[in-house]
This record gives sequence, C-alpha cells and structure tokens, in this order.
Amino acid sequence: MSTKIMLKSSDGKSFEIDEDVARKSIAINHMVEDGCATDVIPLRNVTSKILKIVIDYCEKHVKSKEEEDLKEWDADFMKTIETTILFDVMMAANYLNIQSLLDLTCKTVSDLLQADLLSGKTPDEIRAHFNIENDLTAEEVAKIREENQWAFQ
Amino acid sequence: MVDTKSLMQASTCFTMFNKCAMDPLCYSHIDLTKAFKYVDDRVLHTLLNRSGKQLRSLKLGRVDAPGSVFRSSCLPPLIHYRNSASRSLKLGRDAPSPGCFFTRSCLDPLKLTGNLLTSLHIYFLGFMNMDSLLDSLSACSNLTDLKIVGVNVLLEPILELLARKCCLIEHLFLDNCYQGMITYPTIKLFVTNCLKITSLTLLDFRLNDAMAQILVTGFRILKYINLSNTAGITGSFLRNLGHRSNDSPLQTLILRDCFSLQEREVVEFLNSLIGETSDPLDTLMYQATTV
Repeated sequence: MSTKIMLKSSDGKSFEIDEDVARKSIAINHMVEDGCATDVIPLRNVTSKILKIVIDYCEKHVKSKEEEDLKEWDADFMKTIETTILFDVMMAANYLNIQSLLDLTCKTVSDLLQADLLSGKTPDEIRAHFNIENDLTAEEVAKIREENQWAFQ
Repeated sequence: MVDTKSLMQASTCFTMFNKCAMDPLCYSHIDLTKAFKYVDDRVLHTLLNRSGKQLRSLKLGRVDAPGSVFRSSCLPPLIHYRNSASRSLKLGRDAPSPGCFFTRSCLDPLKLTGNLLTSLHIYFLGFMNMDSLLDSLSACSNLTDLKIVGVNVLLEPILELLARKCCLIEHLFLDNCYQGMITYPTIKLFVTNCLKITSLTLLDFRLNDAMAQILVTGFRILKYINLSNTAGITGSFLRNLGHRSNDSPLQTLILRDCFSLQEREVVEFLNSLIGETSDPLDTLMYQATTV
C-alpha cells in the first residue's frame, strides 16, 4: 500500500491520492520533503473542479511512461477541457508548479488564440471564449494599439 | 507560440497577455509574414530590441507573393520535360510586393541581436543592400536554417559567407531570382566548410554537371537536395552517384524543370539504383524518392 496524501480544494473538498501522483507538483513535493504535509494540504487557489482535472493529468503521467502514448493522451485530454476553464487549469498548473501541464495548457491556449485571431474575433469575443475578465483600462488598450499600430490594421 | 502580429492583438485582451507580450521570450521567434503589409524597419527594430538576447528565429516578408504559386518549387516533385519554347511562357520575375516597406538594410539590427539566431527566412523583400545583408549574416554564427526566396541579391557571396562564418548551417534554401553566377571555388569552399548540411535547395542556379556532382557527393550527411530550374545540367553527374548510392545517406533528389536534363542519363541512373541493391524495399525507396 503506497503512501496517501490528502489535498483539500478551495471549496472544501478533499482528495486522497497516491504520494507519487501528488509529487508531480513540485510545490507539493517540496511540502512533503520539508515535512509540512503531515495532515491535509490545503490548496486555497484551486477549486475542486479544477483540482480533479489536475489530479487526472498527474495520475496518467505517473502510470504511463510511453512518450508517444502520453502525447496522444495529452491531446485528447485537452479536448475534454472546456475552453472556459482552460485558464483556470493553466493557473493551477502554475500555482502547483507542474511544468508539463503548464506547457501543455499554454500550448493549447496559444493554438486556440491563434485560431480566434485568424478568424477575426474581437478582444471581447476572445475574452468570452476563454472566460476571462478585461482588467485593462481603455487608456492602456489605446496605448498598446498606438505602440503597435502595424498589428492592428 | 502565436505569430508576432497575433501576439500584439492578444495583448489587448487582458493584463496577463499584455505582460506576456512584454517578455523578451515572446520575441524569441518573430514571425512577421502575416503582417507584411504594415511592418517596416522601425517595427522590426522595435521587435528585435524587445527580444534582447532571446532571438532564435526570424521570418520576414510575404510568403504568398503574387506568382509564387506558379514556381516549380511550390509544386509536388514530378519529372516534367518542356521544350525550350515553353520557357518563354514562364511567368516573369516577381517584382517586389506592393506594400513591402522594408528598406534595403532592414536586417542591420541583426548585427547586435543575431548571435544566437538559428533560423532566418526572408521572402520577397525585393532588392536588398548586399553589404548590409552580408554584415548582418556575419553576426549569425549559430544559424542552422536559412531560407531566401524572391530577394534580388547575388547569392554567391552568401554561400561564401556561410562557408566562412556560418558553418553550422543544416538547412539551406536559396532561390536565385537575381540569376547571379556561382563559381567552382565558392562551391568547393561551401562543401568543404559546411559539414552539417542535410537539406539543400538551390533553385535557378546556373550549375553544370561538375558543380552538381561536387554538391551531391561532397556533403557527407546530405539527405535532401533540390536543384530544380537548373538549366545547365545534362544529368551526367548522376553516373557516379548511381554507383555509390549504397554509401550515400541521400534520400531525395529533385531535378524539376531542368531543361537540359537527358532522359538517357536518368534512365541509366535509375537502372544503376536497381542493379546495386538486392533488397526490393531499398529499391522501392530509391525509386519512390528519386525523381
């Protein structure tokens, strides 16, 4: 029986997973090594919905060692994630320091973004697609456009 | 990574994208081929400055310039013979694309930012200042992939410079739309010094059979060579190639629109390939990949 680690999401749900799966997260790995993970590891920045996805990814990447199989699985896995929560998964991967998942989500967002831009979507439409808030002021947007006029014609 | 124009557009979506768009790493691969209508030297200079020491690849110009779709290099490989009369029907040389605002020395910033550049593709920039281009390329000693299409410059000095300053080159694609000459000493220097060439495309060069032989047999790890639109080769250089095919890593040989190519030479070459091998699969591979 392998060692288990309990993770608790920001909305209070607990996930008991194998230690080697949890250690895929460098952040959690450090906690375990430092002896900070004696009881439950609270993850205040990750909801249960997102944490489930992250755990699924880590479990697959612990169990399977076939490079080509993983690549195919990764591509299929990304297709199952709604674009509206892709950023949340990316943020979680960044927060938990899971480099391969961060790279994968960044690549997916990059490809989807490229497709959006090529099809002529406006910033508002892109924000809706990825479910992100506009935290730039009108002045900031105007400054960006002014500095990069060549890209906005 | 999105192309550079898309990167700028994305930077107006929200703060995270905007911050990303200011990171030098976002400019390690600058692709301005989708923004060819509006970029100029100032824009290029700004972007190269943003890349700092991170610049790894740069693509400039218009990939789909008018007329380019009719050039043989864009079509699937195919043995195709024309009589000399059809040459007069060829599309005229492409003029510089309307809307290309780069000056003849637009690559000058590479003298400062190019030392870690590994890939440079320039398309249909029209006339460029030769000295400026050579000085810029001189700074790119780590270049492994160079593609120059539709640029009115002499290409022999570029081959010579690659041999002297950019010996790590692996993939070279030169479209000689300026119709410059190339000499034996340059070819020999190129073959002697650029030992890592695996893929070589020299379109519209005035090569003869002896030169072609030096190129085809001189690179020890060459896998792909395309000498299409070379009017001067009859195919006699294939004789030696046919008898050393078992030792050569060459997989693809393209000789499209080589008007002087003799069918007899090609037939004998193919026969020698068949005769040299006992393994049917090897024979099939040679036949399938050699045109």
